[in-house]
Amino acid sequence: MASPGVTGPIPTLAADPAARRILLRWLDEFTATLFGGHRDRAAIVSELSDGLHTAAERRLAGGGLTAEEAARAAVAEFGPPRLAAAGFLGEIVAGQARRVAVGLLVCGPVVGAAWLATKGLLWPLRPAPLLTELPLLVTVLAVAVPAAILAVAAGRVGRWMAITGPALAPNAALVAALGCVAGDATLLGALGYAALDGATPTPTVWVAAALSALRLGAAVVGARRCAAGRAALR
Amino acid sequence: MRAEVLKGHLDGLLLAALEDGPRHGYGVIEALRVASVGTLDLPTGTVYPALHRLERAGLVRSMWSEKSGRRRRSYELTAAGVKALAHHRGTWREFSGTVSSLLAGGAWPAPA
Repeated sequence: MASPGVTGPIPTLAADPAARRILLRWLDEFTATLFGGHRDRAAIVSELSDGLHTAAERRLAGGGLTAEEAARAAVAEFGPPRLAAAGFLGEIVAGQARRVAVGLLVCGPVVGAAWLATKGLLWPLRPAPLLTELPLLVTVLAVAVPAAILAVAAGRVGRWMAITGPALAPNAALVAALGCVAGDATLLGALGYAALDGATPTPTVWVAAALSALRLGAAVVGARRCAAGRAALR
Repeated sequence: MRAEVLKGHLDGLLLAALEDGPRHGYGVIEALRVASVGTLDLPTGTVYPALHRLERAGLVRSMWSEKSGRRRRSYELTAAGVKALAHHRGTWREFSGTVSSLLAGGAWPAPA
């Protein structure tokens, strides 16, 4: 609807290159400053882009402003893009940590089952690495599994525990990842020691070893991601 | 109203803004501004991340839609969010009643 006194075509954001440039410039700086990987940033940028354009459209619909003025007012309302991006840091870090923990919880039973299937399958017959290192592995599991569950549930735990903050999830996920690194390194180390001692791993043992090696690599990447998130929060 | 005054009450305000139905992030900011007659003008850098935190806590859920050729993320209360809002209201009634009474010159004990 045209405002009183305004003649001619109703201004729109889409038809005004200057207005579009103002909004895109804000979004570009916001995107560049936002922490996290492409997936985390893409969803947030889409959401903020819609909000920013809506803010400009509301001002334009209110009348009395050109499209460029409406865009400038919207950008002023949203504030410095760096400040807006900084507000998302905690949530992005927590989301990353949650994904690391979910990955560890999903592949844990797979790797565990693969090693359980190797029981007594080294030649000449001797206890498989899983059995020789059992006490240490049980200790690692007793720490890593609860830590991973806590990282996944950190958001919900925050409803009841006042001590939570954005650092809970990355701290817990880091403990879980380091636990997996310790567990897999122990299993692979024991296998290597047995092989040096003359034992011949069977195909089943090689499969378990390969899965452990893959998880060890993924856990190292996950641990580094969580550590980077913790560092960014400080 | 200064932002620090709202500390501890932001979650309740956001949940209340969603009580009547789903809103997108900027819609929540506008709703709070209009309902408070301009007193509450919360920065986007506060509201959007808080909505994400509430979703991670299971108090709201989000869904994507298309609006004017743009992807729009809207939020709505979950059952847990409805309960949390009721809890926030109860806590606020108790807190505001107590503070109002004290600030109005309540029955203070005599100084030692």
